[in-house]
Amino acid sequence: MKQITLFFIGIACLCLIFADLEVISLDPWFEIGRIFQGFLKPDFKVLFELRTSLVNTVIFAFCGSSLAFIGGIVGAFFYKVTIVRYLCSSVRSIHEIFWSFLFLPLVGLNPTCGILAIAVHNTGIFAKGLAEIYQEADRKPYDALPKKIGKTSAFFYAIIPVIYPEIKHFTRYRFECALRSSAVLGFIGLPTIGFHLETFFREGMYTEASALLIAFYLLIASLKFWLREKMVPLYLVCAWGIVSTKFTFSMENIIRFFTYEIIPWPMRKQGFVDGTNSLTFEIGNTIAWLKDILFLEAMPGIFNTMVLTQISFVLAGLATMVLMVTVTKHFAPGLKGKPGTLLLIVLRTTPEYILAYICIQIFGPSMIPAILALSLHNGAIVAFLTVKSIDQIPLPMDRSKGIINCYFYEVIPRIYGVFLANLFYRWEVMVRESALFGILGIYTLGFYVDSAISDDKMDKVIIIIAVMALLNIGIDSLSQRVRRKIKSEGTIVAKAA
Amino acid sequence: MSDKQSVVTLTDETISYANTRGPVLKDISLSIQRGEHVAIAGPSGVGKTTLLKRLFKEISDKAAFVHQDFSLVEQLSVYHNIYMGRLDYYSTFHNLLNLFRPFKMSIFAVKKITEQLAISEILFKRVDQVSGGQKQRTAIARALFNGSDCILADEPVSSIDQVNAEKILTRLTDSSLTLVASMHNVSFALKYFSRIIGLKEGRIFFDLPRSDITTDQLQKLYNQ
Repeated sequence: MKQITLFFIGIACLCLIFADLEVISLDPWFEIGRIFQGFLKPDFKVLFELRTSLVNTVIFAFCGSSLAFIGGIVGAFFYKVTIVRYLCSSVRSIHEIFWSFLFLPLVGLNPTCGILAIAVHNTGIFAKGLAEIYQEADRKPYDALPKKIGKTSAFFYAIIPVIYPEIKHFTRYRFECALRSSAVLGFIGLPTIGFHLETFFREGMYTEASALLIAFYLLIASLKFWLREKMVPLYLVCAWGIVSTKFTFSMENIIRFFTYEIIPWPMRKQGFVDGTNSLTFEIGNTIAWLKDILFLEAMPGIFNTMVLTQISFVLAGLATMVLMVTVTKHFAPGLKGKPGTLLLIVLRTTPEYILAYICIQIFGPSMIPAILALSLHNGAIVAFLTVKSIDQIPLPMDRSKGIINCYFYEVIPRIYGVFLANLFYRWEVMVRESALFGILGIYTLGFYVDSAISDDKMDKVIIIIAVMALLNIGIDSLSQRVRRKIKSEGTIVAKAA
Repeated sequence: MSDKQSVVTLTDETISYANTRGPVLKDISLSIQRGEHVAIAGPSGVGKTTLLKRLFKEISDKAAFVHQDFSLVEQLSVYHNIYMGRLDYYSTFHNLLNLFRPFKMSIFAVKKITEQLAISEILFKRVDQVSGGQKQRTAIARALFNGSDCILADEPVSSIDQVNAEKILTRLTDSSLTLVASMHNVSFALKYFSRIIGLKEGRIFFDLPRSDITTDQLQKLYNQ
């Protein structure tokens, strides 16, 4: 584990050489002061005006995740089939925003686009999640059934009840994620809260922005009160009822998209020039076109995405270490970790994209805001996951009185494996987010997708998004391998003891 | 009872822990003198650990504790675990550097102790890769490295073989150290300790110099 740590710190240091770390803003402290003031005096009156955007945020999340849940069940049933697994991991590897970019030309800028984006991305996640829950289910009740019972009955009697609580827990968590994605989708023009947040932050209207963000935190914090199992069917009927009135669909657009817009430009060029829109098969030119995209856009995009990811990855680990001290019951018993816990919840609940957007207002467009957003958000998540293990350590009564002594000698060595595994679990997500931050003006893969969208070059968009998906799948499998190695070091420990 | 030589004194104490249903000790009065070697004996679950922890609470800043479960950090080396005995003596900065690159001076100081306990060869092995007896010796070394002249030890030789156990008890009782240890091994208690406190049914059953203890008393201590 020491080697893994040093290796990744080394890579991050190397990446620093290539990172654009300029503070462009003239006076970051002034802007921080204004944002802080905004949060002290949130203007809640604005919420009444923006109520539809809050409702839309919830509706998108409900419709998107319900579709994803159904898709996920189907996927989970066939998860043993290799091609299904690949399909799931590729839809999972593309961020909701990029999915919405892909659906935009198909269905237009409307709720359908947002819902489909959430649905497709989460279908991959649900399929994997549900399949894993099923695999790890306790088989004893199932094996204990009389042999004559049919498989279907057995499944409903001895599998579903066993795994139901976990499915519920997972679905609830994914719904919370869908709410965050739904909010972020507003930044590209869909009618969720992100749409207004974008305006408020761009115009420096921080009292309005803070009111909307606080409303969003309350919405998520109160999930356990209003997201009751019995109420879900009612919510779903309402959500789908409202959405169905806005549903748009154009077969013509879809056919045009698949048979024309995504065909490589060299094949369309001749037809475009002579006005017939016919296709010609220019193999040589198409290869040259592809080579240009791969070498001039995808390669630098991958490079910058990884530079951003690797720096943020190590800093997220550092942030985790700091955040954990403030929330563990060992070191903050009197305060019950309250101030730290609040910070943790805010950092965890605010989507990275919104954090990055806020940081850009402060520091100007460079890698700094992206690094801050990625490391703080993911640091908070890893801290949240790891601190449970810390709280379970029985610290001896004769431990050192110094908090730092105790933290580095008694706590960190004991939970380092869990911490690293949790951090690596976020690696692939961080790559996905790094790529996404390109649309904020950093030269990661998302930047090239965004410019291709502006130029209306869907053929190029498809290629770069495919590259993005491959990068993500690659990192995901690498991360799994590292986590397995960390775990195996743990089992050697157990055997020796 | 309250002369200068007393290290710790309890008078008519009732000892229990609010959050556990552990044993409760009643009417406990005892005084430990400087340089004494006291063994606490009695049937399992009678409250030997409870009594030791209560004593430690009184004198935590001038005594070291050897835990029955060792309380070692398994992921760190034997050296680091022993070094932890003196974390509060060094600056935090010194401690953090030592975590990544042990200081020669500290290694030298730790080795002086580990040589007496025959664990110098495993000084830089991770604790989860050494045997139970070696772990226990590490825990004892940590208490010795702490430098206090009083050690409270909970079954300090329970995992160590007979020969080494006797060596360690000789080392612990052969010095000016004040030692209070719970001992399930009565023959060790009689051989190495000057005074024995017998606990039975939540009370002190006897508290006598070794020479005054009879076989009859010992039998009564362990029999219902």
